[in-house]
Amino acid sequence: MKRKRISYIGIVLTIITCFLGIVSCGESDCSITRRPASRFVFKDTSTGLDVVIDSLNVYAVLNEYLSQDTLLLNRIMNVQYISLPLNYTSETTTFILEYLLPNVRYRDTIRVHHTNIPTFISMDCGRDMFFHIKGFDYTKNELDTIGLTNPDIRDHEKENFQIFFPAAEE
Amino acid sequence: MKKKTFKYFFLLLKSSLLLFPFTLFAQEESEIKVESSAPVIKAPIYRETALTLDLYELGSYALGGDFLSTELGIEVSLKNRFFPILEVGFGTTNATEDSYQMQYKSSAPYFRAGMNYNVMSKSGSRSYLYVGARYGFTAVTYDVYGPPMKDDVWGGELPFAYYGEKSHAHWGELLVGVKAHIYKNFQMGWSVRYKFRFSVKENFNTTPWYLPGYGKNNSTNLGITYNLIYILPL
Repeated sequence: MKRKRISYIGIVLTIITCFLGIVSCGESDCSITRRPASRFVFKDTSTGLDVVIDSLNVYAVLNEYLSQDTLLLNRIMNVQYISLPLNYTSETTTFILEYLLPNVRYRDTIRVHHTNIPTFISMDCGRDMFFHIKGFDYTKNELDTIGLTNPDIRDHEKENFQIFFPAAEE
Repeated sequence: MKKKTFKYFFLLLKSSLLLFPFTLFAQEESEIKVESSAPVIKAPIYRETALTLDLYELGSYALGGDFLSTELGIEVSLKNRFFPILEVGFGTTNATEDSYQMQYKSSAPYFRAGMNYNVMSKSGSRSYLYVGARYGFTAVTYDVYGPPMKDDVWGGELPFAYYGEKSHAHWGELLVGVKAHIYKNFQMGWSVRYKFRFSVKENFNTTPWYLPGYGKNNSTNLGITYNLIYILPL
């Protein structure tokens, strides 16, 4: 009888000690460490496979009517995808993709329409801006078409768009 | 600060629990002797009613914790084995996060209902080890705000302030604890609780950070109670 009681108390002491150990070691896991961004992956229209763009500039259009823009990505080489930040204070974000060929430059404009969602995550992880893509339009100077694969932007890693280019001429 | 708090409570818990075995044995040794010579009497179904007061969160808050809550409970002893219990509490927080400069305010009542099971009921003692389960619910209103969100790329800033956000949550708890008879109708006890969230209502821009009675809005939590218990005279 006595042994039984000793074991009960032993069990309680062990459980409580283990639980406290877990609690005291617990740390908050804040998975978002960078600003969420829209990811565009480059694809070949005919094969659907990833393609590499040799050289690219990307501009952020600050004011379409006044033709104000600023360079976001400068002469990035051999890229398969780009991650671009959306505007916090406007529900439309416009980018210009400038393809740099040896003697010529082509430009395409992509306009993304989105809902901005300022989000409180926790007191440990702070807050962040998430987005939901409502629609988009674009020019077809060099690119063929654009497909939306994931309308929700909550990090900077998941693919959101696929940009299809026609097969390169031989 | 939090680590210090836990260290302090760990020491306190250990020291107070180390006293328990002696209290338990001292109580039960004498009772067993009486039982051996007394005729066997069938125990009545209803034994007694007790009021409980949880003091752990008060102590934790005084030592620098973010959450302040108090809780009262009423517990009925059935055959000294089953203890249906109803717990009602009120939790509040007014926390500031320095690195993000965020402020979070909330206060709300919470309710828990469940049962404890005395695993040492055959001894007939008022000091015993028990296990239990609870269902918990809270409906909470909270404010969260901070400095405007600046857009470093496109320029401009967006205000960040949400007041009167409403949410509610349901959860379950599994617990193990000890109770010790200390003086006349008074008992004290510790319990450790494993809490698991069933659901929480999320809002468009926010989710509650603190759920009164549950703690931080994690999928699971661990909780501790330190109860003073008064057995109502029949």
